[in-house]
Amino acid sequence: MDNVQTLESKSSPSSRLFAVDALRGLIIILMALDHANFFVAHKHSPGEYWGSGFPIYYDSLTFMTRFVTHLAAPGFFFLMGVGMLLFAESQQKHGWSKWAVIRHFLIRGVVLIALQQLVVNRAWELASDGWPTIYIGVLVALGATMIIGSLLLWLKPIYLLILAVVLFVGTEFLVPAPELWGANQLATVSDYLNTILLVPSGNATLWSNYPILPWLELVVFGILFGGWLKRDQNQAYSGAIKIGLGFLLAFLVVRYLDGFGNILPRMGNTWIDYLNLVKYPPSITFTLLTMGLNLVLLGVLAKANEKIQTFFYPLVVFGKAPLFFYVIHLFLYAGLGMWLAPEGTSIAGMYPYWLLGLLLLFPVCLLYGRLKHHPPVNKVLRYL
Amino acid sequence: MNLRTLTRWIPLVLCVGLISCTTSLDKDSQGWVLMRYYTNEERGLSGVEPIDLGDKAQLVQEAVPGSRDEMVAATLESTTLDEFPESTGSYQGAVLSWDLYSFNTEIPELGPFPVHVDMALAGGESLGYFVALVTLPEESEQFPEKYRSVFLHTIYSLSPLE
Repeated sequence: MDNVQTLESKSSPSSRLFAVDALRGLIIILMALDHANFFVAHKHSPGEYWGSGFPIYYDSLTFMTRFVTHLAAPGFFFLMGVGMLLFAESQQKHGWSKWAVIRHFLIRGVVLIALQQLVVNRAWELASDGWPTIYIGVLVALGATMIIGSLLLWLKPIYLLILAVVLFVGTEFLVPAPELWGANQLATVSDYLNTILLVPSGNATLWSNYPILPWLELVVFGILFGGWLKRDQNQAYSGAIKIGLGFLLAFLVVRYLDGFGNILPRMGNTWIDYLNLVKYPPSITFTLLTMGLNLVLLGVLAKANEKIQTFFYPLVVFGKAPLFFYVIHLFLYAGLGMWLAPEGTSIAGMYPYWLLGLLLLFPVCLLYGRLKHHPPVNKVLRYL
Repeated sequence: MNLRTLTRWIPLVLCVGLISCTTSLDKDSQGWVLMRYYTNEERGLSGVEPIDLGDKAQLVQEAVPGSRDEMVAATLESTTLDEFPESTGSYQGAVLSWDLYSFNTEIPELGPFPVHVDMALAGGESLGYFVALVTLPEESEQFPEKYRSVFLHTIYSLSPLE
């Protein structure tokens, strides 16, 4: 309690947002683990889709290596919503109009989409036989949801809550039966809209892993949470733990019942089967579990005393340069995989490569973080 | 200050690296198998099946008319077994209750070589359910977890169509 009071008493903006940056840093390094698995170990499953084949894992290390990385995508969308609200609030205090805020996010959203198509897809191509011409990956979805989210920043909390719930439940209703995998031939405008907005699918020209609407709910929830954070951070962080535990409880119930909310029924009854969830698109159970864990982590990190904050400082360094880290790390791990482990490794043998990548990325992210706040560079880098 | 903070992580990093190297397993003994849902109205079944099990294993799942004794007799007829082995245990699937068997034999229809069979039987008086995973013995010894996982997920999900 004393520590909390100490923290509050010297609550500079940076210390107030320690938890947000540290959580973002944590999910970034978990994401890097997933990509090290893909580029170095060559043990990455094709993904947990609503149709097609679903991976069943026969060893716990391979499963856990995939499972922990599930925190990343929902965490990014949620924290982006939080950051958007806090950014809008702070810039409006500096005299920005609403339109100026929207324009900023519009430009930033377009930059994200362009980065995916022009830069990030090149990294994926390094380890793949073929890659779709247009790929709706995580950056496209973040960019698109950022643009849409910018229009929602001034909605009343109750409307944000309703919208988040409608998207959360509604998008799951619209997922086709698994037998219809491959039925979307991208022949009509409706097929394209379905692929871009709702259901992961596509062909060699256009493939969507992150359709926009199922992920928008997390940005909306993030904006809502950002509002609570702005009003009373202690209450918001305590609320995060309670909501997170509520999500985890709801996950247990929905998963046990094995009906609506799972997209696909469980294929077995081991602990891995209970935790092996449909991510593409995010099923209700996937969102409940991952966001439950993310919210609890956020609340716990917010209660960290100064000593713990210092220990977790590297996470903050990564968390303050997420896009920079994202773009660089893909090429780094692709390079490590190609040059040091072209035949792949075991899962355990991949971990040192993952850590090596993080050690190499730390000073670069530290430097980038400092550069970002130096005028006139910051005028350009604020969009990255 | 910042780099000094980083040095506090170095022992942790070294430990994880060391543990990873010393516990490094054969890379082919870890992983996943892709399974997909199917519904087959002709056979009156729904369940899951592996998309690609390779050419060293074969999975059969069927609903067969007849009693459990008839399924046992059919198994004895299609293998070189002299008598049907004792059950190795039971397993409760999502819908069906299974008796499990595991044995080595030859299946003349496949060829004159030994195979390992994991078999599950369920059912009542007139309709039985039968799952058999047939592998080369060295293959099942090399990747026991993989084939056990495919087998158990198959029998967990197998259900008669309503």
